[in-house]
Amino acid sequence: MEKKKYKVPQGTVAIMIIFILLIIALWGSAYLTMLSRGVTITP
Amino acid sequence: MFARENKLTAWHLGVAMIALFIGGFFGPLQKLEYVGVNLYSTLNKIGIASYYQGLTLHAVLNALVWTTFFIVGFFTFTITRSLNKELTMPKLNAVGLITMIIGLIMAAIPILMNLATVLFTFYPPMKANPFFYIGLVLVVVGSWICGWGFYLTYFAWRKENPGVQTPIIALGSLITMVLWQIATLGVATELLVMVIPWSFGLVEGIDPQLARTFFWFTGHPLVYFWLLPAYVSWYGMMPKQAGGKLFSEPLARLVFWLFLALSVPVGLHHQYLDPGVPAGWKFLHGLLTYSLFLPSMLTAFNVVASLEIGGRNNGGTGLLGWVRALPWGDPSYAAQNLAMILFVFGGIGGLTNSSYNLNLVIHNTSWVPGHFHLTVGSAVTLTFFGILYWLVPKLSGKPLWNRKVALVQAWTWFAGMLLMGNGLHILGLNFGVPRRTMVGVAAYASDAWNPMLIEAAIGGIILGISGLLFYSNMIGTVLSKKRLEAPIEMPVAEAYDEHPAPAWLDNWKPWLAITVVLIVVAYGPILFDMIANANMTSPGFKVW
Repeated sequence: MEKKKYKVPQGTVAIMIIFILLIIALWGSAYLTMLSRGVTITP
Repeated sequence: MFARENKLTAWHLGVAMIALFIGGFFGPLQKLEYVGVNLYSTLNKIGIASYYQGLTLHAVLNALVWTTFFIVGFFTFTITRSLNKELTMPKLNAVGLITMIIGLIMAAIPILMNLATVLFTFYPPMKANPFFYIGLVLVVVGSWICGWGFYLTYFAWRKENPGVQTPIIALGSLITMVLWQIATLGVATELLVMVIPWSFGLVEGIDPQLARTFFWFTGHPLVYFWLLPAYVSWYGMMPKQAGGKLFSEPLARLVFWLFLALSVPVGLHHQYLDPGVPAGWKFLHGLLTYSLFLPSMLTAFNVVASLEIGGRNNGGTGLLGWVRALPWGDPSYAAQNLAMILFVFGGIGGLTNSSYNLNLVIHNTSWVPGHFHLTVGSAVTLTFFGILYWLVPKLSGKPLWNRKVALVQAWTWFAGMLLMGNGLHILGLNFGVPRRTMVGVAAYASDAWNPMLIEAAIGGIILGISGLLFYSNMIGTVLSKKRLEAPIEMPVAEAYDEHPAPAWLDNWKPWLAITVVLIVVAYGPILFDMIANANMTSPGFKVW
């Protein structure tokens, strides 16, 4: 059987890039909020 | 053909929807309480003693009963249709259903009598009436019995079809059932060995740390027990509904196997704050939790690519123009696609939860209910609504009562959950607002919380309205006198590539072996140590 040629799902790739940027932004925002609330420093 | 399976499915779904109706009733009340509208004093007249009794009803009925009954019913349908084979021992599945219903009644009575206000996690040393715990055990055992009925059917199908690859819908459903049966060994041990003897007074004390560890052995894979039935639909059915094909069937199979292997040995990330769990074990479980990112991202890619095929088949063009060409007018499709979008935010919140230092900040805050309302309350429940929009007409032989109402329902659920989820996340992260708490009467409540409390309350009210729209459609459909003009069949997505998946993706043995090894490595030594050093000393407390 001849191997089927895939069309690259370009829209999906674009959405995945947006998704990854969103992960970075939202996780980073949570991290920065955590830092802004102060840290516990062990002497 | 399939008359008995349809009946069993309908019973499961019926009980699930009744449970969600009662449990869901308390959701908007909790959010109204946030903004100072306390309706619990009114509910005293019908026997609801407190906010916390309502919260227990909300959580147990929604997170445990709605999900478990729906999933077992859905799988009764999907496995038999996908294999095109009736249940080999339908009486066994009927016994399973009856056991689940007896368990539900047995657990519900103590909750309604305010004898088991111990919330969804029923953490010792809070001590409930023993019949609450026995009821929960029976619900789980009943679901196991139904699972055994599925396995017998699968074995019989396999014998009749040597060399034939298991259809993806049946495979995903069966893997989920096996995952459930492995995962619930933890909570079964907790209840049968520790909690029930203690609640009867047969032993004086309990070790809360050990009990919690057994609970979370089940608790995290429980999330995937909820989620994978949605994946069965997203992979196996939605591409067909969208007019497309499943982009990569082998990848979909791999994802289900990976979730089987990786879901269980991660539970200690729910116990980052438990002082009795050594840091090294928390680190190992944290790492394994991040491994779940892989099948999650594979799913995001594969499902969206499948929908892209559909959108382009429907005439969509351009980089993202195909999104508009998806069947947004079909409520079954729209509900599930909106569920996926909400799950994007639920998944990102999950990554935050599994990050150790962030978890310490948000763990006991309203961030957590914000998170799980975007997962089990959205990705799962809204997908289940979408499935019910074709499955209830299929089972009843009647058309959906009102498609427009169903569409409005899906969108209002989406909007309500966005508002409530956002409010709860920000309240938890920025202000440390506690979860499992009657915030409206807290003396320490701050005015700075008000905007987000109001946002969450608006979201909760919209969700309540959306829930009523859903039930009006279900009741309207079942009571309708109209009959379907053409029979509805289960949507089954074809694979984009007709080549069969590799044989190792249809072979249980290596995946079960990997699953057992990972569980032994991640839990064996720490559980051995906890059991060897168990302190069965804590008395029970009734704090409500």
